[in-house]
Amino acid sequence: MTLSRRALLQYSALAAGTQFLPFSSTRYWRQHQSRTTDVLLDDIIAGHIDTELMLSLARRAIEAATAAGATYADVRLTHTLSEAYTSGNIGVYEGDLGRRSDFPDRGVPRITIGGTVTPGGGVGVRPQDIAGIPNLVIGFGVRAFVRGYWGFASSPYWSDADAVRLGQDAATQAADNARAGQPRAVDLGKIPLVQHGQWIQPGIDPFAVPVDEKLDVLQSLLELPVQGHRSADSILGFPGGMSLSLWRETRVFASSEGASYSQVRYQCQPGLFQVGLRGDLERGERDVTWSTSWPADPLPARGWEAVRDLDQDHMVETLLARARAERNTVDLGIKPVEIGKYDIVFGAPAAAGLVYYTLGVATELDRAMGYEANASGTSYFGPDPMQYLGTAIASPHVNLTADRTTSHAVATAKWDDEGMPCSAFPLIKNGILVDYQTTREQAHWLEDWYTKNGMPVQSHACAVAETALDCPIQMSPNFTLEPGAEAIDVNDLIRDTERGVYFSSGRAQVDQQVKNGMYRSEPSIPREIRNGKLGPVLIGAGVLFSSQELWKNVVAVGGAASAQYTGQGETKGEPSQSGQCNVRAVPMKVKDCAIVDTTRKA
Amino acid sequence: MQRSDVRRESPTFTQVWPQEAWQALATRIFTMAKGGGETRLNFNSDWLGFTRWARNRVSVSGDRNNNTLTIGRSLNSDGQYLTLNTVDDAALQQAMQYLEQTITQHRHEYLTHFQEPPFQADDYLHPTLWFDKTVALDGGPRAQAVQQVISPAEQAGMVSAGYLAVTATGVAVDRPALDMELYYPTTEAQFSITVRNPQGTGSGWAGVNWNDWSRIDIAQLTTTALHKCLTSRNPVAVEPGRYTTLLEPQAVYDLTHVIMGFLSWDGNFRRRDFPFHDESVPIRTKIGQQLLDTRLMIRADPMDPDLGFVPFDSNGEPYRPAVWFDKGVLTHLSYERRFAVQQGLGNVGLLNSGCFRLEGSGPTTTVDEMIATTKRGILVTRFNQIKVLDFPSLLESGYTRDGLWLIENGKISKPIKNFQFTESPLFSLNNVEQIGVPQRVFCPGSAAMVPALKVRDFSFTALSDAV
Repeated sequence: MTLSRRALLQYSALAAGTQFLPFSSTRYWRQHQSRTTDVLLDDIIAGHIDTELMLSLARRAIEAATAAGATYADVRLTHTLSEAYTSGNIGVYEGDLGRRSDFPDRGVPRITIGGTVTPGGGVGVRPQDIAGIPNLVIGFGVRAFVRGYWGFASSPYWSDADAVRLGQDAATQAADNARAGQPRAVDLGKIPLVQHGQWIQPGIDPFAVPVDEKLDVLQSLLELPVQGHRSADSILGFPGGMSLSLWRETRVFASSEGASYSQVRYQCQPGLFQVGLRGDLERGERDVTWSTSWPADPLPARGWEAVRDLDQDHMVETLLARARAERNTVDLGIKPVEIGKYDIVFGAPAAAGLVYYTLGVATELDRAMGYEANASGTSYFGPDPMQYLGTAIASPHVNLTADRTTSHAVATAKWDDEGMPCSAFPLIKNGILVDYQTTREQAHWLEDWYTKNGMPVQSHACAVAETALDCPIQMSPNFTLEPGAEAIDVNDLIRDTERGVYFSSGRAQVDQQVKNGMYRSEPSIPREIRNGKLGPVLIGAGVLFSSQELWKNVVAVGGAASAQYTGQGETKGEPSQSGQCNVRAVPMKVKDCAIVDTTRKA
Repeated sequence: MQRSDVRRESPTFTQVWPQEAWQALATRIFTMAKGGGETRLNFNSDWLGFTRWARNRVSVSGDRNNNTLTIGRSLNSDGQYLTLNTVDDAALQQAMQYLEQTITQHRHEYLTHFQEPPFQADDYLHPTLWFDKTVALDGGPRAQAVQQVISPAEQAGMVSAGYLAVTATGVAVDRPALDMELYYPTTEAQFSITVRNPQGTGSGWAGVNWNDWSRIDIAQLTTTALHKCLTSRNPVAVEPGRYTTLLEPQAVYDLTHVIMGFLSWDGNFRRRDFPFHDESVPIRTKIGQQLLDTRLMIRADPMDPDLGFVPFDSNGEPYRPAVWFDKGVLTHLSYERRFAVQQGLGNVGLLNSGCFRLEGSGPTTTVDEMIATTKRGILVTRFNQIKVLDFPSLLESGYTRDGLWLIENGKISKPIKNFQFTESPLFSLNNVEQIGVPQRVFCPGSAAMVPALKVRDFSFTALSDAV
């Protein structure tokens, strides 16, 4: 990589211009910005939120649906306000079609709220800005049930006229299919009736924060990647940057059974931190482009205080140190992968990814029953999920709990989209599969199992509609891979391994049945373990696994102190919807895994 | 705050906003803008009608309306935007007020200025993308159509799941500073079906999307999926390795469409991550280099009767006919108008919509002929869960699914267990033996005409016994 003289000069100017500025300082910002008026996004475009009005529209729609023949109907209204702040690409560029060539001589990036409209016509973000994109989505959705069939209708219009139209339309859609199709048996069962429920997530509403305070905090957050880029080893041209997302959702629910609630949830999360660090090739180092989601600890379903109280300096140092650790492979040595069977130690984030992709997704009952066969896929617990209940599907070390109750986790709510109170429930006990994720309709499918085991035939509150524009489907709750009794951590697991490989984090790629997968270590590096010690980096190493064997081969899990949270997401359904959850896992050791070179062709 | 305003009736349209209604709304928004500068609007008004089924029964049928309105407001070349899906006057007034207040809080100057001339009317093409037959397929007719495809699967003792959906969209871009008032109505129908046997040892799939519902033969697609299910049951394992491989059009699309995402002069990746750029020299590309088999061409034309797509992007810049690869040579990378003007390439950019037609010159071969001329090879229905491992080479990894067969001595000899593959589309498109007739594949929201291909040395890296 050669540096152009111009880029070098700009780089020096940047360094000179910023060296006297203390980090996380708001002084610079104050000097260069006129006093802002106290305009809250909330005041301006959030005028719709009036939960009483929302409820009255919901009831109107239910009346219309039942009048049109629905024997059950439920309604959601959602008001979702979000602001995604993305910094421009903060870096030093060598002429890139003239668009990103000019790094601002002021050095410190500035903030605009709102994006920028480039003169060329495209909406773009200039290198020195962080742009917030406000987005308001309101939705009104009605689901109606007629003789075993579901109909749905939604729109962004909150009016009496549309309430009636949507209610009738949903019932008509259901009736059309009840008439055309064969009989379809559905039992929704009974659930506790929530009436006039109200829940507001504790914390500071991110859209009720004075603009000055918000800008101050954003400004200091924006300095984080700059700090990364100030280091002499940053890669010129690598678009560093970071993002912050603020989200608030007000959701009102009502059903023809008389249930009703309103709940408000927040998420405030720094989203991404990326830097490029240049490796010294002669010393055997490689470049590292480090792009990481913000650690999910603290959990992101919080109010503004989560952003305000971040220990930013500590955070950036931790993240930079992680990136550098990946780069300094010279100290570790590099080894080509020797294909074969190894014992694998998965760090807590790695284990969490495997929990989600091979157990979380697989225990979605709709997938196992084939309801997602034409969409996100099936499950290795299909086509008859009942036959796996009560059987050993994992080693006795594996205990998996699902919940929608963990404070500040993203899948947490007070009630689900059928009005069922959210709860925690075990899925795997000592390696035995004991349950699946369910909605009201799905709980009935497990009636025999529940009755036999003295469990209530009742939904686990996993019905979720992404917004009221979407029809509820079963979505993942949060998961916990329970800690073992012994107080051991990942170092103990490594110490106890003779010939193995250590994966700190990475990503699982699985087939549509979640049956087989490949675990790759990106962006971290896989390390050889020899006689209890970490050895050289195994470039390109991946784990080729069968989900069933992987979990049966777990020989040890970490103790409670070694648990960590990660964030996971999924897309399922037709039309597709996105869901999010948090997974808490402990490190684990799995024997006899196949290590392969993931970049090699056959 | 005027909460009472919320109840005021908003104009609702059960399908899409017609142009007159949209123009009236746009005019209302423009009059709300104070203090000069430019206001630009993007508006998509959508209707989706869908029917979903599984285990041979409809699981839900529905209608969804939505609008996406993006308001961009600039003053003295500072600007910002926001997106909302509600269009009542109170919300719009408030949104505009928010934009204007936040612009004036933060003054920035642009480092480069680009004076844009307006586009001319004849810069735009006018493909027919709206089909009344698509829009007419609401809940009742869909319920009938779905029964027609569930019955054959159920009668054969198989289990089907699928999705039939129609969308109608009005796409509008308004930029008064350029005298631009674009509106395009478009429809799309999509159908896909998965048929599995009750034991879960066989699976078949078929699917397609077209602007015009009447071009979708759901009976034929159902027959294909059912046949694939029945003939893929109880697969046997064969060794992973390199095989002569017959890729059906959907498999070719799954493998190759990633190429379209990189046909750009500029992007958010480091240049060294571009397959079509030369890492060592800035802005040097591989244009002029032979990158694919000399028989292959990749092109896109909004007027292509089998391809048709909205003829402009979200900035209102027109899509023109483009040849990206000719006789295997990379001929163009996409660029915006700004680049065209700067480089003296005219007044209009060459944009990439992502839609494409991949075709061969010379004789075409049917899949049956490909099978008949194969001594030993593998027939692939489709891939999924594809992940790009390496951007410069576009090396991908993923899985086969919904029907995989071994071909021996010119005949399909048996169904085989699925594979994980590790292969680059650039490698495969350089190792082509036979080329089929392009046909539409399943890529909702986009359009592609792709042929079946017989390629040499396709790399299957591991068994994956999922069905």
